[in-house]
Amino acid sequence: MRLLKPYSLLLLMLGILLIPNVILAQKKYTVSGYINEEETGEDLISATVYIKELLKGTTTNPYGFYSITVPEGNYNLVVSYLGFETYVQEIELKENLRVNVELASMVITTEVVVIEAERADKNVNNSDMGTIEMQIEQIQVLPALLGEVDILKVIQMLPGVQSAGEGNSGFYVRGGGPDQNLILLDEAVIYNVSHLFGFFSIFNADAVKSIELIKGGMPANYGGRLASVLNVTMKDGNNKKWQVEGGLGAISSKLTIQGPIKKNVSSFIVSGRRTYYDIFLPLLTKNNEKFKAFDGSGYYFYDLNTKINYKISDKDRIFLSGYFGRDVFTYKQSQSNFSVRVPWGNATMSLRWNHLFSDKLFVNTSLIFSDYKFSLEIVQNEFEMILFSGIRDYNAKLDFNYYPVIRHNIKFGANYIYHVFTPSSASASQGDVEFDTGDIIRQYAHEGALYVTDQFDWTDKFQINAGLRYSMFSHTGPFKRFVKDTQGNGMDTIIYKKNENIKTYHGLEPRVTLRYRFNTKSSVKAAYTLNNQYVHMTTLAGMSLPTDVWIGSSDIVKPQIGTQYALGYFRNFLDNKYETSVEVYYKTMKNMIEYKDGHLPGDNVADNPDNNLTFGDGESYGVELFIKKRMGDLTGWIGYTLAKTTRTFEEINDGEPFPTRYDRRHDLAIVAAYEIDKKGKREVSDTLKFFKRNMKKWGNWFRARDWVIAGNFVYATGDAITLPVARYMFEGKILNEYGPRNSFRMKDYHRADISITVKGRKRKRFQSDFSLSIYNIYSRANPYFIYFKNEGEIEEGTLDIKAIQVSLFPIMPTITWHFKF
Amino acid sequence: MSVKGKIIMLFTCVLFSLSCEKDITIDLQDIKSKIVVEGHIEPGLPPYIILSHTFPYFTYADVETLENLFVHNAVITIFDGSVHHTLQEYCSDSLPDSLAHFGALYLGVDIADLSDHNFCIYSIKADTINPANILVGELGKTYNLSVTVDGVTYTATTTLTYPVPLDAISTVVHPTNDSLFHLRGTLSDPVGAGGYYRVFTQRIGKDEYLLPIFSSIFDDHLIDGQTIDVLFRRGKRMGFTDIYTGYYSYGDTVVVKFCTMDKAHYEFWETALVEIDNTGNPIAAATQIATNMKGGALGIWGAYGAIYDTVIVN
Repeated sequence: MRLLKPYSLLLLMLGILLIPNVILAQKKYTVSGYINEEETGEDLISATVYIKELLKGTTTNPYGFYSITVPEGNYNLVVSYLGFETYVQEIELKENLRVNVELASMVITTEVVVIEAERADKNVNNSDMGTIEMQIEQIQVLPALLGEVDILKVIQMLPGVQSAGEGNSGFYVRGGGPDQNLILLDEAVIYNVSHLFGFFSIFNADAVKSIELIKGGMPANYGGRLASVLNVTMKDGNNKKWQVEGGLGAISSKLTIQGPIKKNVSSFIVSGRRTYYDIFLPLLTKNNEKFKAFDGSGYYFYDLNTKINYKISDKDRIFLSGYFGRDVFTYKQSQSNFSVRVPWGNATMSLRWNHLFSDKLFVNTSLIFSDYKFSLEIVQNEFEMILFSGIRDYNAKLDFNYYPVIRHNIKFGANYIYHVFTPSSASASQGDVEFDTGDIIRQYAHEGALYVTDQFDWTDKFQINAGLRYSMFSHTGPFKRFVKDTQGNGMDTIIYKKNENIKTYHGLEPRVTLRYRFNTKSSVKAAYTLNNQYVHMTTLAGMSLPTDVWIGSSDIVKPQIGTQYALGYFRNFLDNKYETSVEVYYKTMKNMIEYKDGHLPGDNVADNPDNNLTFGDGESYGVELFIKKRMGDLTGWIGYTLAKTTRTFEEINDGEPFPTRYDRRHDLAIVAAYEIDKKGKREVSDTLKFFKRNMKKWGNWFRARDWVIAGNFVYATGDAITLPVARYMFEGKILNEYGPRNSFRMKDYHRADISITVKGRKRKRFQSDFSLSIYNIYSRANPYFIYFKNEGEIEEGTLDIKAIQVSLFPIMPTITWHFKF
Repeated sequence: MSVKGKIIMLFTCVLFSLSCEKDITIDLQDIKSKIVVEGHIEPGLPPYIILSHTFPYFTYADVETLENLFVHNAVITIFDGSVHHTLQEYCSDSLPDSLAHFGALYLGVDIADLSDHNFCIYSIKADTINPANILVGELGKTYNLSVTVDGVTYTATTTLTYPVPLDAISTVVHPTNDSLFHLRGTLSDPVGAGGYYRVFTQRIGKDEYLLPIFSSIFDDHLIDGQTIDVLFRRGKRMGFTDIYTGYYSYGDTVVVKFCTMDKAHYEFWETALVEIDNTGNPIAAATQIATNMKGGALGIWGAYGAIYDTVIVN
């Protein structure tokens, strides 16, 4: 990596900024403003805003802001957003204009207005690759495991995204590792997204506004991870009227309150969710032999999302948002005086300030705090032990959006993060004896980045999105390095003083996406990206657990470097009702980490966690097909991925390449939602004569409500796992020898789910929805894991081994109730 | 079981409540069998090597299966820093009494029945002319093992670490049954390097040979340089579980073998015992058992810095 001084990069940025101003010749004016939702005042992100006469435009930024600079004249300004009425306003542009627009949601499902159709081709028209946006409303009607709507499980059904197994909310993007996804909640990094050992994500759908997933062609304003960005935006809170909504589900109950603090100026939202497994468990274990195993155990999780925003002036606005969530697992065995308590969770806080320097220059400044903690407290008689780990970030960001002329959309900015890593550490005591668990050796690091990116319409057909990111990472003292020989014996201890530089890495990360548009219906795009990743997660190959520990790059651990090449063809059909695409990608990943074979992660007393790691490379390639129907009564998508992912580590698997556990050759998802409108409903109800005749009341009730029927089907190649292949005798015991890593495939996975949502009548102010969700309708016994049972004794000549496949969820219907007033 | 192991077990319980199971047939690819070395040396005693090979995972196994695992006619030498000692293979028909208990432990049979079974072991050659030439373990010495089978050579090195005597051994009575006891060893761990321990016990007249206790290994990384009490729960012979398992009885005369070892030897036992613990635990990660053998063999060539005590339980 060659050193490019940060200031020369800044000069480069300024240079780019100046160019468009030089080429200005004709008199030009700017129309700019914010796009909001009429009913709630929420900012609309990525809404399309364009000048009808020029067929040129832009999309709103994450705060709903847009800016368009065009020559003086009379125009029609068009604002459109899926699911909302298109807004058209005549403007006379002879001075800079501010046009703030509030879009009304579409009441009737009509054919899309012609002018909108011309610009509904965002996926063909922009140069984004591998980027998918979703509104929470689309997700909420889909079937959900135990009725708990989970955005990450919907993400998993997109092409190029692999799930981490049955019911698990973990995901892997295009062969990347679980630590290679940058998961942001209102810009704050979430280091562990799962509740209940991965079965649910920490995102409470009621508090979420929108989701954006970038799996390829990551723009330069994002960095620090190789595989993807998942950008989750929280609702700002209704700034028009008070609103309370909530729900009762099989797993949890939730309640959201939002409303204006000062109408149109300031609003807030508070949203909470809690499970009740621990409340009902004692009732179960008392009277039921089957649940005896749970006696003494308890478990719950909760989330709290809060956000306040305040418009100081037309030019300034501040947002303060926070998330706090905890999982707590407890176990008590009174006979043996043994008890365990395991709390873990995330806490984040983001303070953001939007400022408009001019109609063309928007800036957001963010101060972000992010924290993940895990601890395990064990008490047995006099013996007490606490094991803990975590990561804490203090993050400052400055992001500029600059719209000099309509052909350029420039972003530049800077980012600084101060990381504090706490590796697995322990403290233990037995009565009066304090065990010597050494000092807690935290790892302190500074991570910084500067970036500039320009989305530039070179010609009408050719668009370039070129960006450059300079990133650096520096591990500093205080730190204690335990130097080990090749056998792992302690050789020496190096002590670094506070702020002493231990190791610094830096690098340039070019990102380029090109789009060539054949016509309004089809285009071809190509992307090249290089990413550096300075933080890493150590995990045991088996499964992702809350015990997974984040570590920073160090003198031993080098940054991971990923390059990705992608090529795609995008084509829309039938007035953009159908979007289709084919994307191929090839990725390489360097300096990935794994635990050494046979290493058992411990408490790091007199050791550093990175001493037990081994390093290798990854490779991944594949093709993704995507067909999406975005409007009409029937919406949904079909996604198919054909892919291959391998890792090569010198010290693992004798240096031979091996597939990752989630290397899925085939991965298919079909998702559909059908809304039964007035007309459709009449047809359906006519066919249900039986109901009409015999249950008139029922029929009336049925007709008076809107229904959504949704379903999905997924199919994936079985997980690659490591199995024992041979046994041997040692000291009279049978030991197992494992075969090549991940050389065995479990059976293929497939499953179909269905859901029916009955929307309440919108009479008065109270609205209540019921939904019935049936998971795994044909009760497929999908393999979750395989284990082996030894039966008999070798001495008696009766030793036999059975392979047993465990499946998790059979058919599971759940009813949830959701209300809003 | 490690702490993390316990958590995984608890989690497993939760999963099992929801899950369903079915037997499946697994078609494992053919894997070439590997050589397994079980070799030890301790102070004042000659070394021994049990040389066997692995057998396919789904083999139906009985004692006869084990009898056919031994590898014969290997060339085994041990270099003690000055002399290369060549070992000799002994099988059931020529087995010296001093090696019989290894066979009994290995095959899980009584010593008296061993002659009915085939068991082979490599140890030193008798040297009646010059008994001083016989290799026995010496404290602090390093021993290089070389095993050649069908032209392929496997090597390993182990160091005979200095033993650490226990300060005291006392008894801990069962809370409700005053005829059952655990033993408690008081250990003053030396400061600094080393600190890898393993414990065996034998009830005279009840056990034919020494057996490792439950959770037979521990190390000093949390207790370096401190004095602590370690609970000894009686280990069982394979297939012999009864209500007294884990306990010594009133009046038992118990031999306690308390050993130190080098790091590689400890890591072998650490990973092997985790693997044994994990048997039947579905979601534990595959643990590759560590080995110090070079050249593709499994097992361990390990020295024990052993020291023996005898206590009477009362």
